[in-house]
Amino acid sequence: MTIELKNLNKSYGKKSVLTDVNLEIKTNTFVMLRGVSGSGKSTLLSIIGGIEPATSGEVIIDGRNVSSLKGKERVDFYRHKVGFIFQGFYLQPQLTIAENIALMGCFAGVPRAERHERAKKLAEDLGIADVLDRLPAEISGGQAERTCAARALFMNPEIILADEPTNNLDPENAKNVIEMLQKIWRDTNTTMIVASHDPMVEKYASQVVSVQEGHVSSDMKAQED
Amino acid sequence: MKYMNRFKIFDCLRLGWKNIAGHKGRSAIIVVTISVLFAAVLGFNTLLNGVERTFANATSLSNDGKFYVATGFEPETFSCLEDINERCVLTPAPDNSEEIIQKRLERYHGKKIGTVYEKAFYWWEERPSMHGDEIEHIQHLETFYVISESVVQSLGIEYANVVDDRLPVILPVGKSLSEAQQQKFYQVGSYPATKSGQPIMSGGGFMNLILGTIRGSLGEMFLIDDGSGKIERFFDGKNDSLVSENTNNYENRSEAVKYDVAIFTDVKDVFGYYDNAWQEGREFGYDFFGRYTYHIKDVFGNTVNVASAFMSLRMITLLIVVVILVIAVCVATLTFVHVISDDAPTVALYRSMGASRLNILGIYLVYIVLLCLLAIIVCIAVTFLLVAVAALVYGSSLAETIKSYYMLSDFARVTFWGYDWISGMIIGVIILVAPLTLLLSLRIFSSKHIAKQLKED
Repeated sequence: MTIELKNLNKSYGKKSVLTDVNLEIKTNTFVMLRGVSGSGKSTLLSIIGGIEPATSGEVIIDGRNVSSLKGKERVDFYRHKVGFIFQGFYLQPQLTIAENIALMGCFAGVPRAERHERAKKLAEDLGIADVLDRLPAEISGGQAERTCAARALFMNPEIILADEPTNNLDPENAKNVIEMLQKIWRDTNTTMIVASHDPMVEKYASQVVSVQEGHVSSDMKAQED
Repeated sequence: MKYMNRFKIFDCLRLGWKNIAGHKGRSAIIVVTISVLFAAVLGFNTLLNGVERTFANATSLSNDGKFYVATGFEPETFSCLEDINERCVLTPAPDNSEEIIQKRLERYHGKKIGTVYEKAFYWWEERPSMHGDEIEHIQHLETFYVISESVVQSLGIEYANVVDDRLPVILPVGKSLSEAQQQKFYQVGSYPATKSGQPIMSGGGFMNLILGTIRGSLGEMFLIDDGSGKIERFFDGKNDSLVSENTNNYENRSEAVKYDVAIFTDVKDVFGYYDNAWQEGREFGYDFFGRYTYHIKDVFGNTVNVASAFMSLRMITLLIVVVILVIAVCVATLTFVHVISDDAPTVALYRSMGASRLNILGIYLVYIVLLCLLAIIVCIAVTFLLVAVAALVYGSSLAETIKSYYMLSDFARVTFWGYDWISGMIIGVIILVAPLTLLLSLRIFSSKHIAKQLKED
């Protein structure tokens, strides 16, 4: 699934955050959006993920200008195409791990039994099957990160967006998370876009997009195993 | 995977409920705050309705289930007040008044049985001033009430006409004619009455605020018009007072004001007839100055007085209720807006998962409605508690006060529990908080706000 950004601009009031962004991300690529804090990479991620609208320009996914989608059409598109992994986990404290993983299925109208089965399968794949009935407060940070990944994968998305997934993690846990994302990317044939300022992520990425003061430049690189 | 893409109501309810369960402390504070605020209003209104019911019971017992009500028009009398030498000019009742009154009586199961009229005499006494030779003029007003014989018969009083010129009269229970009065009148019976003044409780505290507004029955002597012409002769020849020995001047200064007397057999009908008069009375063509003054008064007993007292209290209460409700709604709404604002990351998460704005509104609507329902349950429980405490503190002394005031041998029908449309309104407003809150929180669900919140986080 190819992603194209054409003449994309984003500003908050008079402050310009992204200026004339033109970018192409090919199917099944592991992309790192690199940049210092405040450079605009999270904004770029939010625009690709449909959380935030661009001020002008086009976001073309799979040949379709998704920035012009409205209402139900837009919701349906993102529900089935995109999975998000947030920086702060955003696990719902009142829901069990199984319910957190299957949350997206609620909005998509997936039957309850099927939601449960799918959550169980994802939890087994990511090694968190033994904590399915626990609450987020009762699991470790690593397990929470895996839960977030499982949640993002729930609807079999074609694009996974991860916002600073290694932030605030020690180097060992950060490495585990990145390796987990890489495994997911390989196993699921998705396009993985990771916004991060962690240099370690670059090692795993097949395309690095630098975001600097609202301008982007992209480099394809040979992927390291 | 292809699904119906429909967010199921069950999931919406579950997520809304989980929100409460997941934030027990926060939910408890919201529920307690809202319920206590509203319970204060609901409790007072319940108490007011309860005491009203108690007095309705008392007046029913006192009147033996028969309620005599005067209904009609009192002409405006401003010109009398401006200049005592000017004779009052009467404003006639509207042409269709008879028809409208009859319709209203039918609506409340009232039946016309006779007439009653008031005849007022102004008189003034001349007496030396305290400091010298000057003469002071002290003005007095004396009012006579005359009922038709048919009303007396309805009371079950049988009497034989006497041949002399004395007038037959009935008096409140416990009163008798003075020697001077016996020259003019003779008593043929008595009617149920209350003691004079208000039914004040010793140590009644705030209960006396309610009781202090209740007026007693007229406690007057009713002259009976037996149709023999004695009444006319009595008024025509009246040139002295039965009240004062020092009367030097006496003048008939007003025409008689005549009302129909209607009988009701259910106290609720009397209350309804009185309470709704201001609304239904619009048909009479009231103007700003109240040119047509439609009156509903007690003939015997104080049923209309009780209805009037509680209606006035209800109007004042309604004002206070509205003020408190506005405060309560503001507090509740601001609390909810704050809660939803705190949940912005969750809203952002839902949005990123493909939840439509409507889905998220649904979850929070369920969340707030459930909190409101819990608040209503707690509010009613607190109200029960308040009423139970009031019954414990004031119950027996109110029963004693009423027993003595209505001169009843026994009275056990004291209640502090009652509801009316204001109670319903209070409950309704608690439920209204939910959509109002969501309306005020709509911006939280906007993409712009979500993006901002995510950045801040």
